[in-house]
Amino acid sequence: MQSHRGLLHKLIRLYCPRGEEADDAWNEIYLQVHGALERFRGDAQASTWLYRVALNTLLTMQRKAYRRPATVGVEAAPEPGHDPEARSDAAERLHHVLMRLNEADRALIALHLEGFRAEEISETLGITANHVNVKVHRIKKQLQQWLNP
Amino acid sequence: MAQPLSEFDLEGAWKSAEPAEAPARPAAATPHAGPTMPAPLVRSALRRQYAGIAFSLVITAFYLYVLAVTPSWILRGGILVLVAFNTAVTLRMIPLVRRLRQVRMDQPIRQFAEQLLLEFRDWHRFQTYWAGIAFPVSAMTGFFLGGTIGAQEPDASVLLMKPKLLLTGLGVTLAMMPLVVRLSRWMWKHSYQKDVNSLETWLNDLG
Repeated sequence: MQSHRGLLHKLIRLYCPRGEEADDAWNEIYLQVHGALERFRGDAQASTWLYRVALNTLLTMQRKAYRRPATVGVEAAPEPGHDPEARSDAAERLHHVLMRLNEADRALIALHLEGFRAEEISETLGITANHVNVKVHRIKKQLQQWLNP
Repeated sequence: MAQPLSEFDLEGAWKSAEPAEAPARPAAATPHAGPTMPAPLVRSALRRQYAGIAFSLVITAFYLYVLAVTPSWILRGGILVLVAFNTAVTLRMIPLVRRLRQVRMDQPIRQFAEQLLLEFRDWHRFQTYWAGIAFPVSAMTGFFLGGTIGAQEPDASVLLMKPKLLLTGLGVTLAMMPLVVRLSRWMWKHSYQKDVNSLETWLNDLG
């Protein structure tokens, strides 16, 4: 889990914009991963397994806070607990447009941008690799439109 | 198709978003070696279900108390029906709770959401079905109980001798059924409906 902290951190930030929520999400994912570890049989890659648990945790945490709109505009204020100056301008712009995507597309494109192959994303999300490719193409096109109006 | 030169470097921007300092292991979290912890959403659902079981047990205890003190054979019969009914409901709830607890967190997201949705819909069917039976049985027992106390008669069978009163009780029970159905829907809307809606949204978005 320690070697995947970078992506987990970015995923948590995409689903839990508020600082205190992010802390809760970290704790919850940590507990869920440790709780589910005894069931890990190695039939999926460790990273695929880890992101399934993490995303399912974030998915069910989001449900708990469903009254709050999950999608925010580009102009949304930076969340407390994160220092925008510590991140590049491009990264901030990308983060803000990613927040405009629906939650499922956010997970998909995050895994793609991290360098996961379509087959690995397919195993994590439970959709076909072809569908992953189609969606990645469509989401990237949408992101480019938002970033280069 | 050629990409425009000014295209935003999505991968580069994503990589540059690495946290300057990787978050440390959460201090508050203590790994446990016991059975898998249910997902946050499942824990909320389980809390409601445990509350339902507790309510059912309290009501059953009350029925048993009335059973012990009433001399009326009609009330005894009605209460025995209610106790049997409550026991059946509680026993039926146990496998539903167990199945919900066993939903695996390491499934692909689509399957995980589909399974949760299935569990919640099963619960909805159970709730609607049993509420439909529970209300008339409880109402009629309540009618006899209230009638016995109100008439200050030791035996509720005297109410059977008053067909007009009996028909009024039945009529009121039937007239209240739509209200009960609405109440059941209201309870569903304010407990599981939002979870179901959001899971359906996820599944639709996954395509």
